[in-house]
Amino acid sequence: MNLRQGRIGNQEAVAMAFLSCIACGVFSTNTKLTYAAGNGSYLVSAFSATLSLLLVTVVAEGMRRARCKNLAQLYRYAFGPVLSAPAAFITLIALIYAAAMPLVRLLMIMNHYIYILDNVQNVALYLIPCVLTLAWMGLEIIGRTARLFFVVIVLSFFVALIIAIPAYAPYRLYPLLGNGLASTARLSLMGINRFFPALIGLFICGAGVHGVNSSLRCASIAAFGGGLVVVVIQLLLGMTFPYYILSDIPAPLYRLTMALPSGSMFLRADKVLLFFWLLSGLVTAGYFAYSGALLFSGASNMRDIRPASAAVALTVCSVALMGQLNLSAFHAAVSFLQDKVWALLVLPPLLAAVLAMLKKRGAA
Amino acid sequence: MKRFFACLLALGLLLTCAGCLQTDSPEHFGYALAIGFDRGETMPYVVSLLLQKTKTDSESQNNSGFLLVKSECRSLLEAAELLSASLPLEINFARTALIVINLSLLTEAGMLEELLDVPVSRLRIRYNTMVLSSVTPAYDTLEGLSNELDPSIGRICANLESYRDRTGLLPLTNLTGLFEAMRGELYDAMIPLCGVTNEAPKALPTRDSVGTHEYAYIGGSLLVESSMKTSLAGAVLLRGGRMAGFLDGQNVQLAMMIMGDYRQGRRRIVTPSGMELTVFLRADKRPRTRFTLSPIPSAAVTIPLVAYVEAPGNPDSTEQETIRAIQTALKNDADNLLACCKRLGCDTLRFGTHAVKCFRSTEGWEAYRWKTVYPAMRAQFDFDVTLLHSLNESELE
Repeated sequence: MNLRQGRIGNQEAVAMAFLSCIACGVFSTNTKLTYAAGNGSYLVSAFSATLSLLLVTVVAEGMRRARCKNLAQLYRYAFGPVLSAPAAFITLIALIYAAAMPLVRLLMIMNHYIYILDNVQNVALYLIPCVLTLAWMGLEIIGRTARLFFVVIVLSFFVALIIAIPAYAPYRLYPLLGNGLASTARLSLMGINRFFPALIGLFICGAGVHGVNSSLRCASIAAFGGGLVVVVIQLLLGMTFPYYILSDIPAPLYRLTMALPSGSMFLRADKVLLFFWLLSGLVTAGYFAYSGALLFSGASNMRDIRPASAAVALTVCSVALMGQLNLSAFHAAVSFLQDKVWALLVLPPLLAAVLAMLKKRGAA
Repeated sequence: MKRFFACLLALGLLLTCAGCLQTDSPEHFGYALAIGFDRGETMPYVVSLLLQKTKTDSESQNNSGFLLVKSECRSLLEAAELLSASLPLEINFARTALIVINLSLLTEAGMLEELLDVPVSRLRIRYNTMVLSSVTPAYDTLEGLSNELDPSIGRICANLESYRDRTGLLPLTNLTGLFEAMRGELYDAMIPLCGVTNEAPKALPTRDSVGTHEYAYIGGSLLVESSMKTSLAGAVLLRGGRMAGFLDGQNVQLAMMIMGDYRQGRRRIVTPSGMELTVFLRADKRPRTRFTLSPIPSAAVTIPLVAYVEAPGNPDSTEQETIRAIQTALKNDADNLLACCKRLGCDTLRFGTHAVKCFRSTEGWEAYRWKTVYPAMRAQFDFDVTLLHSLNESELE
């Protein structure tokens, strides 16, 4: 067995999931959809993080009752050896989507604002070694890399928010509920795909994170902390731009430092900060690629994870690049998927957990 | 050995990933520091670009400064393409800090949106880019920015901000503020007015829209003479994206006091007895606004100010009388300003930003149509003035 899992401590696990929550929470937001009818994105993020945590708690309970150490075991236990591989494949697809979305935005920013004269393919080439190395080397390396950059990355987000203080105007948050509770609830449900992958990843790597209880503890800290950072970012973004401008900006955080009354002093702050944010995107992509590969290998009884992790990492980078190319069929597929990904992500583990609970109860 | 070769292979692969390392040097780019828009003769617009000259080792020091180019075109995007081909430089808008728009382009509805909406996102112009309106052609205004002191656009913008903070005579608007005002129903923008010193006075009426003609200097009619020909004071009032009127520096100051953007400045006040006082006014705290929607929108605005009478040094009246005189003068001016804004249909004083707080959903707010209700609103201004006997000494001195 070569699953490249090893063991990581709580700090590494929390750092990994925390950074992924922030990267997805900030860079996977579909601004057109989220800000179409008001500025309640901070509420949406808070509800999405809470919902995601509730859902993984249910999955954890299922795993605990079935005495499974990781999600692959739960799938095999609940769905049986034949159906577990397709179920894992569905989760894998959703994880690839979740890993690629922050990279799509970060790649767009790099190509549009930094490497202006170069084509996007050349810029995207630099992502491959980073994501591939992380996914190939496995959980320990991902965890340690996340822990190494954790403080700097989180600080970089706050530096951007502090720089932008003169541009904040609270009236831009009104009406406070956006377009009402129904719209907030719908967006919160769709926003699960921004937080759930980071948390479920810990259960996929459950054996390396010292079991279900430890995974749930780390997931709770990551959901609370990462969710809080995302809520603060969304709240302050909402105070910087009105919602009808936000819906036109694909990556508003990058434009934050450019919204100041005078930006000359911080002319290059956006570019410096971007590279820290890019690190968070790369760690997230590596983490999701490895988790997806581990789940699929475990559910389909593969003994070596490396071919799967390499394939998934390359797919993630390819999807990120395709997001930037003018491929109408691909964009149509993404548009079709984007409001359904949360269901793809949530249904297999939730169903497995429920089935496991029912089986256990039946056995007792 | 196997690992060594793997590392070597990885290194080789990494070196082939040199896609970004092309031979484009900074001199390849023409950085547009400022953009000017005028009405064209054969095409709809004339776009002027103030390009930064880049110094290279082989070139002399004289090569630093600005290069002003212009092109008749249908849009900014087209101008960027035309000028890129003819210079030849890759025109880049990442460092654009100033946009100057000729007043003639603000008289037609929808023209400002057409000029800025698409180009700002396509050309990635920064949202903090300052927007000015010009009485004289924007090309001349941009040309007038250069002098022998060779100021950078960044320094000019910083100086305008500092002038705004020190005097309150100038509103500053950037693209975020302009788009927010044009696309939404919240408020209307006020754009600073500039022009070439010798030409501007001929192009403007002697009074502003409020009717003030005392101490009214607007758009480049400042009584100054310098080698920098462009000067700036007062503001253009917009209704949506269209010009509705002018304000002189003193009325801009008052508008900023009401909006909470005012810090300090000097103001000439005529007391009920006809005496003229020059008063230095400093914002003590942010203004407090109580807003109610029904039965008709009403606002009560309290503006705390600290005042110091500069001239005449010892007015022949008691402290209370002086305070009352300042309060009355400010209140009358504020009432006149609001009446003017309501008459022009522009919510320059940003009461919409208070009205929106009364709504629970965006749908409800958008259905309310604030701009149609605004002319009927009432506002009561209360200037809470504290008189200082000295500006520079502490209480203990």
